This record gives sequence, structure tokens and C-alpha cells, in this order.
Amino acid sequence: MSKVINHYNRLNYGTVKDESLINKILDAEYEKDLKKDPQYVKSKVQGQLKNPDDAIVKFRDVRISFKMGPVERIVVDHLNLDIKRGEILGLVGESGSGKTTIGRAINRINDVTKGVIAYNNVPISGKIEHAIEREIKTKVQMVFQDPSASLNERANVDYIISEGLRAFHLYHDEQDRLNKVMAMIEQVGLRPEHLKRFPHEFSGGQRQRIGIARCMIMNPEFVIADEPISALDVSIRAQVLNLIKDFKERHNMTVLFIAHDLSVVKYISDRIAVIFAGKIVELAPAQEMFDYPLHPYTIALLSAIPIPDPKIESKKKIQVYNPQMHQYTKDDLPELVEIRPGHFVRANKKELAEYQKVLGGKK
Amino acid sequence: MEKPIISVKDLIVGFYTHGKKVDVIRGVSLNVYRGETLAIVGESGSGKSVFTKTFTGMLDANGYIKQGEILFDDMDLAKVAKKSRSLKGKEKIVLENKDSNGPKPMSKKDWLKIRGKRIATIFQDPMTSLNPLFSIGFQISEVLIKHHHMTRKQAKEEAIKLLEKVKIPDAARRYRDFPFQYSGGMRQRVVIAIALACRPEILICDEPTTALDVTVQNQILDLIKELQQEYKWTTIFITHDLGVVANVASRIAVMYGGQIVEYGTSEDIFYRPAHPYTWALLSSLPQLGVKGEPLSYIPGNPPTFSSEIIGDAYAPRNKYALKIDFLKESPMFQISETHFAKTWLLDPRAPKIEKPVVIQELTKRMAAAAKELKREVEE
Repeated sequence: MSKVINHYNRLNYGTVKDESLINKILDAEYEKDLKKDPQYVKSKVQGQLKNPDDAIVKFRDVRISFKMGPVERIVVDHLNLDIKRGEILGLVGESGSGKTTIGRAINRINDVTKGVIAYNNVPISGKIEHAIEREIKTKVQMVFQDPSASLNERANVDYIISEGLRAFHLYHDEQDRLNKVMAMIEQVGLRPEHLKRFPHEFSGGQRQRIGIARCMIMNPEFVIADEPISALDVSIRAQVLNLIKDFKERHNMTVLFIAHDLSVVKYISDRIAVIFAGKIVELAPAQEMFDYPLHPYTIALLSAIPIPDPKIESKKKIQVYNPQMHQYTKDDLPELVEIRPGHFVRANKKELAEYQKVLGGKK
Repeated sequence: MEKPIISVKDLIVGFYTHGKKVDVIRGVSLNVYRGETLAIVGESGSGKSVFTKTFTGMLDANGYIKQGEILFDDMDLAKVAKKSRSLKGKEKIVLENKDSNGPKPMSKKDWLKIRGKRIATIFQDPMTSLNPLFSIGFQISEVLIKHHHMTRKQAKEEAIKLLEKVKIPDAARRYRDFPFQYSGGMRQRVVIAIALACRPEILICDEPTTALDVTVQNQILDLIKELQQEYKWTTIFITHDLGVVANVASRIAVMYGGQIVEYGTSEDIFYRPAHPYTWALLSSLPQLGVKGEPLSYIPGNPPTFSSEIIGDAYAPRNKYALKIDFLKESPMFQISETHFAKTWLLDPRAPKIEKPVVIQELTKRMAAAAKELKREVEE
């Protein structure tokens, strides 16, 4: 029992300062692999932040796979990612690249096959104590893509928003709960009379506001926004983006913002990670990513953003990314390398030299 | 001037809902010319889909055309032969055009000759517009057999050719596949192939890329553009994203509250927008947002039509609304030969108003955005 409480406290206050727990699990996994295959080489695992204690969520050598009958499909592999406390990290990639899977793995909706996900240096993947799982489920919240599919059609707004409060008994009495819901509904720009209504009575933008209220009422530390604006009109997108940004600044949350459109992500996020086929290909501060994009996939994504100017658009050439263009050989495998401070790109040695030349020419 | 392929005059479309009659399209006049790409832009609920559905007679069962005409060749698509509808048994409404002069009213049989054959539509969600129970090949050849009276074998050959046209790799093998085996972008390509099968004169694209990724969106837009050059059809492009239409449209109509509030060539709309709603739409694009500043957005919600709209429908959300906007609807003002806008701001008596900063420096910001996105810009 004391052990459980200890672990629980660690998670609560972040008292675990080192990565010993993470490393222990990684070592154990390495030994297991070594037994299966004596030639197995331990993959390099490194953090991406100067101060590793800044990270609220750490992915270390994570693999997520789905079993389809006898076939195991690896969706995400060798994922190393640090999410800094208090930042908005944009995760960009096309559909099927595994970006949603990564978000859901933090929330323990998808299981991790290999590797560790740590929250405040406490491992939260695989088998963990019930108390920690409970804690994670309150501190990590999600905003979903489709505002009509993610709200219970048969529940009124009051119930939808306070469901989390009820599940974790986060209120003293009925009046307290109602006060909390009222305060939240005003913060997202809805009115108290909306509480008794049902999701179908709202427009898309308003529904997304309900989704955000449901997420924010838990007072989360970490929010996973999974394409929250893809299903919305352009004019309403801006409202929802501003709202998320507002909440983040007021409550000092950390946000993982998942999207497929780089233009939106640039506006909202501090750092951007571009993901292709389950692997991070480039990771950089938002402005840096737009100033010095290196990986061909990032460049292809950038060229795809439509510009509302007919003259510019008429001359545009789309760049299509062909994953076969990389000539990776067995002894020159690609890695995520820091090419400038804070700017990581997935490349092998040959490509790295090319990228450095590009950077040198632009400076 | 050139003769339009479709000419809409004073169209009013109504719906019966909750025992009430509600006008959703409130007097739209628009000409569509042969070979052009017309984009209709507006928020959801502005009536842009309903408007184009009248061209193919696909209004929902509770919708009806109250007034106006849609001239296509020598037919009037707004004239319904006979349509009766009872409202909860209380009253029976029979809509029948009795005036004998002018074009013949449209019967169900007449529609079959137009819908799909001469005017085809591509819908937003390719998963719902394809039948999950039939193979892709069947769904394409079905169209060919029905409209072109081909045999099954001929239809298959032609269908594979069409699949190749829309750049589906290994078309002969994928002919037998079912919709769920295709990705979203591929499914949209199949829908385009089905539309192609009849060589339509007009192709209505109803938000064809909204459900797709940015990179895939680009490919689909390019495909539509490419095929248009080959088949010489007229495209009507519906979208809520002004960013998308810059690439495809030659003319743009902005819709709000069931009316067209501004229309002109795409240069008119992007370089010299005149209506406050167009300003708001343009300035809320995230591409033009400056990091650190809040993005501008349109406050409030689009009108619901449940109560009568007095004056300008956009006035309650409009920062630049004049007093008269709340009282009286503005007429359509002509700005140039091609450019029209429906706002009192263009009236000579209106006070001079400073356009929002984003609009004033729109071209500058766009050049900056293009530079950032590694596109070539003419200096």
C-alpha cells in the first residue's frame, strides 16, 4: 500500500527527477530482444530537450502495433519525443501516419507494444498501478475531431460536461458541481440556458465548444487536441483555435495539437513535429520549421498549403513526396539528428551532409 | 455577351419544417457560362448546397421552388411537373405550374436525361456517395450501361479506362475492389470517374476536398482542373474555404443567408473585395494569421431562417453595419463590369469606412505567406 501511495505522490508532484524507472524498463526490453536475436543492437534513445526535466511527456523507443489476425501491423515505431511542459506541440502528418495513435497512446486508449511512455518521469505505458491510471485519466484530457460523433446524442449538455466530474467525484455537492459547469460554459462562450439542450440543437462550432468545455472542466495538465478544427468551417476554425490558445495561456496547460494542415499548426504551436508513416521526420520550433524546412516530406506539406491569391496559385507546383527517394543502406541507416539547436531531422549521414549544405547556403 | 449555359433568375427555395414554411434561398440570380469554373463560397447553412441541388432536381422531399426560373438550354429546371405533399394530413399542397407559355415543366423522365448525364455532382464524403456493397467496377459500369446502353463487356473496358484517367494505379485489378479497400483520396477519384462516365456538360463539386488531407486535396483539385481542360465541361465548385478556390476558380460568388452577397472574377474577390462578409472570410484564413496575434474570426452564428430576416442578413455579425442594414436590404451594386456586391457601403451616401488591416495589406501578406511556403513570387 505504501508503495502505491509513494508512486501516486510521485506522479502528483513530479518528485521523480531521474529517468531510472524508464531506463530500467528499456533495459529489460533490450535483454528480451537480445535473447530472441543475438545480433540485436540497442537503439539510441535520447531526449530532445536541453533539460530533460522540462518534459511532461516522454516517448522512449515506443512501438505501437495492431494485430489483425495473425498479422501484426506496426503503426508507430522507434518513437522518441519529448513534450515540454507548458508548450503547444503540433503533430502534423497525413491520415494513416499514426498521429492519432500517438495521442491515444498517452491516454492509454491504445496499448504500447514496446518502449515506454512516461508522464513526469513516471512510466504510464503497459501494466501500471490502478491509482496512476486513475490519475492519468483525470490529468490528460482529449478534444476530438468530429464534434457530432464525440458527444452523446442522448445526453444533455449539462450531463456531457459534468460526466468527468461525476466519474472522479471532483465536487462536494450538487450545487458545487452546477457552479463549476456554469463557470465553464461561460468560459467557452455558451450561455447557461444551453445546459438543458441536446447536442443536435447546436451548430458545429458550438458543439466543438461543448467538447472543449468537457475537456477543460477536469482542469487537465495535458490536453490532446486531435484535429479539433478539421471538421469545422474556416470562419469558425479561428474561434476554436483562439479558445484553445486562451485556455492554454490561462491555465498553463501543455497541448498536443494534432492536425494535417501545417498552416493551422504554425499559427498555434510552439514546436512542430512532422510525422510520416509512424516516424518523426522533422521536429523544430514553429518559425524555424517554416524558415528552414529540410526533409522533403515537410517541403511537400508546405507546398500543399493553398494561398488565397490567384496569381501565386496559378504558378504553383506541388511537390510530391516519394518515400523511395531516400537511398538508405544497411550500414547508413537514418536517425533523428539535431542539425541546429532544437531542430531535428531524420536523415542518414549522406543526407545530413546535404542538409547542412542547404542550411549553410541560407544563413 | 456570351450566352450562359445556366441562367438563374430570382430563385426562391423554401422548406417545410416544423409545420412552417421557411425560405432558405432568398432571391438568387446568377449566370454560369460555358467552360468557366464558378466557385460558390459560404459558411455552412448559407444555402450554397441547396442552391446547386435545384439544378439536378435533388431537393429534399420537404423542399420546393417557390419562385424563379433556372434556364438550361430550352428547359426551365425550376418548373416541377407536379408535386404534392401533405403536411401531417392537415392540408395538401399541390405545386403545379399551370401557365402554358414558356418552357415545358420538368417531369421525372425529363430529370433522368439531365441528372448525372448532363449535370453531374461530386459530393463531399466519398464514403457515403459510394455504395459499400458493390464493387467499384460495378458502380462505374452501371452508369455506362444505363446512360450509354453499353454491354457489360464494353462497360468494363470503358470503366477501366476511366479509372486510369483518374490516375488509379493498377486499374484492372482494382476494378473488382470494394470502396472500403480504397483510401479517402482514391474514393474521391472513383466518384470523379463515375461523374466522367457520362461526359457531363456541368460538373457540380460539392465540397469535394473537405474530408481530405491537404496534400490529397491538392491532387484532387489538380485532377479536376486537368480533366476539365480535356473534357471542356463547366465546373461549379462549392466550398467554405476561400484558400482553396484561388487555385481553381475563374469566377467566385460569395453566399450568405441564402443570398449572393458578392460576385466577380477571382481577381475581383481576392484583390478588391467589397463586402464586409468577404473581408471577414478572407481575414479569418489561418494562412494569413500573424503569430502571437489572435486570429480574426466572424462572431456569432449564421442566420437560422426560423424568424424572418429584416434588412441585411449579415448585419448582426457585421462590425461595419450601418443603421440602414438593420432596416432595409441593400440592392446589388455594380462595381465594375464583372464585379457586383450587395452592401450599403457602396451607396454614394454611405460613410467612408476603413477596410480591416488584413484586407488592406492582403497582397503583401499573401506574398509573405507564399515566400514562407517556399513558392516563387514575382517581385
